[in-house]
This record gives sequence, structure tokens and C-alpha cells, in this order.
Amino acid sequence: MDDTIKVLRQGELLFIPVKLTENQHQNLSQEMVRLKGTNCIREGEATGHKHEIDGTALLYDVTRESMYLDGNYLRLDGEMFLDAPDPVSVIHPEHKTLKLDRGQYVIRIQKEYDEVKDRLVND
Amino acid sequence: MYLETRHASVGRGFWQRCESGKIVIDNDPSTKTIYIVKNGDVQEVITTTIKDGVKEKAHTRYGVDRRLWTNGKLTFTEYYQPGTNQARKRKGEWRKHTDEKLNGTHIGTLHQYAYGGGFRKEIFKYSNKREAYNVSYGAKHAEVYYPNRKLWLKIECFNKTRIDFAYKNSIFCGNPEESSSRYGSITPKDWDYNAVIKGGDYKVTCFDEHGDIRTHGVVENRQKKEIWIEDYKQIFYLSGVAVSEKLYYAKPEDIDPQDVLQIPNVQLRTSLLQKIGTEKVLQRCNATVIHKEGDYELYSVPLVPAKDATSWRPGDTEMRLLKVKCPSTGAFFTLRVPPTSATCEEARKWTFGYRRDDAIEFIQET
Repeated sequence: MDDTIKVLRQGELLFIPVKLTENQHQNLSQEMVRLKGTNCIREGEATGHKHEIDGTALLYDVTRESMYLDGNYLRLDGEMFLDAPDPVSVIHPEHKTLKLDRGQYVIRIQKEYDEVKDRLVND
Repeated sequence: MYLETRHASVGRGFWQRCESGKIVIDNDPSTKTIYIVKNGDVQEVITTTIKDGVKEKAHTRYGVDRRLWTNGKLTFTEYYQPGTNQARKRKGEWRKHTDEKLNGTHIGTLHQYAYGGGFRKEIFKYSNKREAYNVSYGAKHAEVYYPNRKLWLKIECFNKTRIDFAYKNSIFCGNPEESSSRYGSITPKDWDYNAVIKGGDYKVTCFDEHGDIRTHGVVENRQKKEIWIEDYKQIFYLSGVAVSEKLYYAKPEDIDPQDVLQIPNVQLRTSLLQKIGTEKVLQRCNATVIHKEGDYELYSVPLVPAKDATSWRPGDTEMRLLKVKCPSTGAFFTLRVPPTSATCEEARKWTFGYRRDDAIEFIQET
């Protein structure tokens, strides 16, 4: 069985497609994700440039990385969760457009090593 | 053609031949539809609706045009290719929008032209009949004028960059809220000119009504370059990052390379690395390459341990840096990775939260 994890990337953002069962998808409780209420995934600290979703999708903050859900251990190991019922694009002024197929994605932000505490990459 | 009723009571329907004439459907007082039939085909459809006191009328003539009126005023005309039902006119004026707003302020008429069935160009004329612009889709150059003929906006594109639609159906005209670019980093007084650009290399100049430059600058590889004028003020850019005038003009030898490598913001660190030269910084910090793979390089830089280091947290004596290349801009970035990283792949996986043994495939990177 091929265990290769297929991922997509735009700058410091990693999009990891996740396969949730229908029950898991419906029962993603507020303990696990919280609706962000915006299309903006991330805004650059120095440039002010935003990674934004172009299309209809719901973007959530991951509030709990793992839990037993629907009798199974479910792991959303990332910063955000994207639920795209239709194909969407991720746009950014500097990066080329990233096209995502319909589905669910965990969005993880690239990190950097720091002697005291690892930090998320910011532009 | 024949008119036939369905779902009528027994004996109360009809089946009627109709070669020419007028069919009026007037079900409720707010909507009325008229079909005009000639030679057995519907030739024209006129629909009138009244909603919230606004009267709207649409008149379609198959193979000719479709016109829309609001409260008796013609607002939109679309021309069709003769011999078709509603196919876009292949050559010549295709759409005319009256009462259109340019940049959300100045009223005029937008004329759009087609050639070979595709969109070709658009012209905006103010209500005083003066031309604001005449721009072709995919052009490399665009100029927009104020109603008093003074230059308002000038865009020059380089390399593969082209003029594109800023709005769903137009290059320059539309509701700013519906602009295709929602990430504009410009002042609200200016055009949303970066929405008009398809690609990353261009020069823009925006004038106020007195002819003074309000915005001016160059974008290369999608990054603002050198000195910009934004809202009449000078802003200094290093690789797309606004920096102070002092830092912009600082000589590379006056900047401490160790300080640069420890700047937490990646974009700012990259800007300064580019200013000094990444190779020079690494050289002046006595960095050595410990692994190389394609565009990736893993460096080891000797460090002086932090002043607050303790016996239980001694502080690193070495910094490992992964040099990576952005697939969109081609710029090189450095990312600090754990001192235990031995290969570029391992270091890169770590930055994305994966372990050395995890098999990852990047199916798309931008």
C-alpha cells in the first residue's frame, strides 16, 4: 500500500487533503473546529499580502488537533481546516494561484526552528 | 408553430395554430410578457416587471439584440450574430452599458467590442463624449484620462504580463466590491490597478486631477521594487517589503550578517539577504554547506550561545539554515531548521511538521 502523503503548497501554507467519513464530516464539532467567518487564510506581517480563497468554501480554525469522533480517532494536525464543496482557488499577490479540487483540507503553516520555541513562518 | 394547453379541465384547453401574431401573458399586474411570432417562430420577447416601484423592461430580438431599460431609460444593449438565436456578435460592437461608473465615480457609457467571437477591447466614454480609455484585452499598455482629458492612470506591462479583466465582465468598469482582486495594497483613492494586471511585471503611474503623481512604482516578480510613491509619500521597498529609508540606503557592509540571519520575519530577512547578497552573508558568518539537493542547500553557521544560556539550557552553538527557492517569484529564502537536521529533505519535512521517514509528495507548489 502506498503511504505517500500527497500535499499542495502555496508559500508557507501546506494543504493536506483529508478523507473524512460522512459522519465525521457532519459531526466535526465546535470542540474541533471553529468557523473563521472569512476567506482570508493568512495575512503577511511585513507585506500585508493575503492568502485568500476564491470560491465558495468554509474556513475553520482547528481548535483541537485530535479527538475521538464518531467512535474513531480523528486527527486534524494543522492550523486550519478547509471544507470546499466545489473546486476553489487560493490567491495571493506574489504567489501563483493554487487550484484545489473539491474536498476537505487541513491547512498547516510552515514552521521555523527557534532555540526557545519553534515559530510559524511569516512573510 | 402551435399553442397547446396542458392541465386544463376537460374540454377547456385549446390547440391553436399560430404562424404570426402577438401572444400576451399578463398573469399578474407586476409582470407582463409579450411574444411576437413571425413565420411560425418567436422573433421577439418583451418582458416588463415592476418591483419595489422600479420598472424594468427587457426586449430580446433573436439574431439582433437584447436591450434592458430601467424606469424607461436604456441601460444595456447586447448585439447578437445574425442568423443565430443569442450568439455573441462575431465582429464589431457587442455590448453597450449606459450609466456605467468608472472607478466607482465618473458616469459614462462602456462600449465592448468582439472580434472572431471573442472579446477584443473596450472603450469608455464620459457623458461629455470624451474618451476615458480604449484598451484591448491582453494589451501591454493602458492609459486612462479624466473627463478634462488630463492623464489619470498609465500602466506599462513587461515580459509576459498583460492587461486582464479587473471585474467579471469588464477591464476597468465595475463595482469595486466585486473586483477580481481583493488583496489590493493600494490606497482607496487609487485605481484597483493591480486587478487589471495578469502577471507580475509592470509599471504604474496614477495622477490626481491636478496632474500631480499620487502613485508611481514598478512591480517585478509580483513584488514592489525600489522606491514607490504611494498617496504622495515615498515608500522604500526591498523585495516587496516596505523598509525605512535608513535601511534602504544602508551600505551592505554596515549591516551585521548575524543580525540578519536572526530576523524572525522571513520576508524581511530575505530582503536584507538580497541586499547584502545571500552568499556574502553566509560567507561572512563562516557558514558551510553540509548538504545540497537541487535548489535546496543546508548550511551550518557557527553561533555564539545566547547570553541567557544556562547549564540546563546551554543554547545552540550552531545554526542550521535551509536555503529554498520560491517557485512563483524565484527568490531564495532561508529557513532556520533544527541543528540536528542532516539533509535538505529532512529539514524541509521538519518545517512542514513531518518526520524524516514520512513519504511526502508535493503535487502542486506555487
